[in-house]
Amino acid sequence: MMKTFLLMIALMCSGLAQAEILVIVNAQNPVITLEKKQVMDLFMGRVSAFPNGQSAETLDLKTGMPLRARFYKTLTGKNEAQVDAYWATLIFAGRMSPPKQLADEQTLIAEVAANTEAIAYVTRQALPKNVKIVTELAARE
Amino acid sequence: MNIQSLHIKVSLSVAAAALFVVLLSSQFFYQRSYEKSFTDSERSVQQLLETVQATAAIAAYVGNRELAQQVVTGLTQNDIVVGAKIIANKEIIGQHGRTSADAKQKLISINLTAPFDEKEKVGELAVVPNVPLIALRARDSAMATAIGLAAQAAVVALLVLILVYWMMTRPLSHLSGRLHRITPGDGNRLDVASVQRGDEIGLLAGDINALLHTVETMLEEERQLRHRVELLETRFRGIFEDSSAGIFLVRERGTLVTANPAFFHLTGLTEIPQSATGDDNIIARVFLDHEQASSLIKLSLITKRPHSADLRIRTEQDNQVRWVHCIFSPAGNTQQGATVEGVMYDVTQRKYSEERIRELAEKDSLTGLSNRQAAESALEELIQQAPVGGKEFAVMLIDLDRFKTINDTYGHDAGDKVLVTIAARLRKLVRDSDVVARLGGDEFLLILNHAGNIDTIKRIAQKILDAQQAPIEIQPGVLEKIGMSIGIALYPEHGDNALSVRKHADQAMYIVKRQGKNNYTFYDPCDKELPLAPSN
Repeated sequence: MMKTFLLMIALMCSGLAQAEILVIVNAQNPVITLEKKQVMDLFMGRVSAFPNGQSAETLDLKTGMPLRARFYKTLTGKNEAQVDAYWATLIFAGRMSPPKQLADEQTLIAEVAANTEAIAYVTRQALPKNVKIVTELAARE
Repeated sequence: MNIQSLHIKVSLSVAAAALFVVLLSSQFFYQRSYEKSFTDSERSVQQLLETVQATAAIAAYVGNRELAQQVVTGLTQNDIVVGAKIIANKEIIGQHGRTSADAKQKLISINLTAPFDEKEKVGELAVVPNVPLIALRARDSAMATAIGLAAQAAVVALLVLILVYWMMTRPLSHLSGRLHRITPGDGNRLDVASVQRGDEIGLLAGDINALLHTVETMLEEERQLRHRVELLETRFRGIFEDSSAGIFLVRERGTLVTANPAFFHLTGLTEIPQSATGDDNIIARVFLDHEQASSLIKLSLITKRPHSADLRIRTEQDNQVRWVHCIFSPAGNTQQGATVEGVMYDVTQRKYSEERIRELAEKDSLTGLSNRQAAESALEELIQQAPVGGKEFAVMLIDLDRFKTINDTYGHDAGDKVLVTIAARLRKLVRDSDVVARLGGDEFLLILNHAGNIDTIKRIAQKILDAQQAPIEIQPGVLEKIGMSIGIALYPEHGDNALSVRKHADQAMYIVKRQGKNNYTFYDPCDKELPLAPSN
C-alpha cells in the first residue's frame, strides 16, 4: 500500500520533470536568458531579433508533433490549430512567414548547434556543449 | 339642421382628438424610433468592429501593415462606415476612407489586445461611422413608424365616427326629424316601435311621447277653459250691453273708462269721450248734483265699499228733472289710477210717486194747502231750527165768519167753493216760503217767516182782510162777502214752543170774534183772564 503511494508520487514527479520544455540557442549566442514573453514574441513573428539586436531564426517542429502542440499551448495558451490559423492570417496578408519546420528534436538541436542565430525548443534531455538553454517552460499537461 | 351640426360637431371633435393624438404620439414615437435606429446602427458599427477585432489585433500585434490595410479596407466596404484605421504603437499601420477630421465626426473605436495576452494592449481600431446614412435610415424608420401609427389612429377615428353616427347621431337625427314634424295637439306621436331600444334614445322617445301627451292634455284643458271664459264673457257682455241700468267705469278724477248703451241712453250723451279728452269730467257733465256724486266716488274709494244715493241728472229739457239711483263701487286699480264702477237706473217715476204720496199726506185735498199735520210739523221744525232769540216768525190763526150759515143755507158745495177761494187768496197774499194751511173746517193757519217787524205783519193782516171784501160767487147768481177773524201770536215773544204759540194765536182770534169779527189782533198777555164768557 505504502509502496504503491510512493510509486505514484515518483511517477508524478518524473512526469512533471518530463513535461519541461527547454528553449535553446547556439552556445556562441550572447543571449544568456530570455523571458517567456520574449520567447513568444520571437516565435509568433512579432520580433525577428534577439533583445541585443542580433537577428534570430526560429525553428519549429512539424505540424502534428506532440511537443509542438505542448510548446505553443504552454507559450500562448492556444492550441495548435489556433496557432496555425494565426499564421494563416499573416501568410495571407503576405510578407510574413512562420518558423521553419524541422522533422524532429535531434534535427532541431543539430541546426541550433550549427546556426548561431537559431532558436528552438526541445524536451528536457542531455544537450551537446554547443547548445545552451535560455529558458525553461513548465508545460501544464 | 341641429342634428347635422351635432354630427359635424362630433366628427370635428373626434377628428381633432385623433389629430392631436396622432401628432403627439407620432412626435413621441418618431423620436423614440429615431433614437433606437441610431443606437441600433451604432451597435452595428460596434459589432462590425468586434468581427474584425481578432484580425486587427494580430495585425497590430505583429505590426503587419498589409493585414491592417486589409482589415480597414474591408471595414469601409460597409456603407455605415466611411473611414477606418488601425493604430499600433501610436503609429497608424492601416487606414482607409475618410478620417474623422474630414467627416467632422466622432470616432468609434475599440482597443486591440495581444492575441496571446489579453492584458497587453497592442493598438486601437477606430472607424468613422456614416452618420448621415445612419440618420437617414433612422429617419426613414421613424417616419414609417409614425406614418403607420397615424394611419392606425385615423382608421380608429374613422371607425369611432362611423359607430357614433350609426349608434347615436343617426337615431337621434331620425327622432329629431320626426319630432320636428309633430305639432303638439295634432295627436301624432313618435313611432316608438321603430326606436324600440333599451338605451337612452329609446327612453328619450318614450319620454317625449309622454310629454306630448301631457302637453296635449293641457292644451285641451286650456281650450275648454278659454271656451268657457268666452261663453261667460259673452253672457256678461250681454248683461252689460242689454242692461236697462246704466253701467259705467270712471277714474278717480271723473274721466270715463267705459259705459254701456243704457248709460248713454239715460244721460243722453252720444259720444264716448274716452282717450280723446283725458281730463273730461263725465261726472260734472252727467250729474246736476255732481259735487255729491264726486264725494260718493271718493267715499267709496276710501271706505272700499259701495255707496249710493238718488241724484239728479242733466237733461236736454231743463224743465223736466230726471232722477237716477246711483251706486258707486270701487272697481280696482289700473295703471292710470283707481277706478270706480257706477250703476244708475232711472227712478224719476218713483221720485214723482213719492212726491205725490207726500203731497197726499201733507196737503189738504180740497184746497191744496198744507193740512193740519203738515202745519204742525212745519211749526215744530221751524222752532227746532231757530236758535233761541234768533229767528222770529208770526203765527196767524184765521177763522171765517158766518161760514156755518152759508154752509147750512147753500149746501156743502157752496161752502167748499168759499174755502177754495179763500185758500187761493191767502196763498197769493203771502210769500212762497210762508206756510199756509187749513186746519180743518173753516180754520186756517199761516206761518209768516222773516216777520220781524210788527208793522209788516199788520200790513199783511190788513191786506188779507181787505181781500175778503171781494164777494164770492157761491152759486150762480149768488154773491157773498165772507169776513174773517185773525189772531196773531209771535215767536218767540208770545211763546217758546209750538203749542203755546198756537194757543195764544187762538186766544187772540177768539178775542176778535168776541169784539165783532172781521178784524185782526195780536195776542196780549193781559187778556188772559178774559177768555170765553160762559154765557156765550
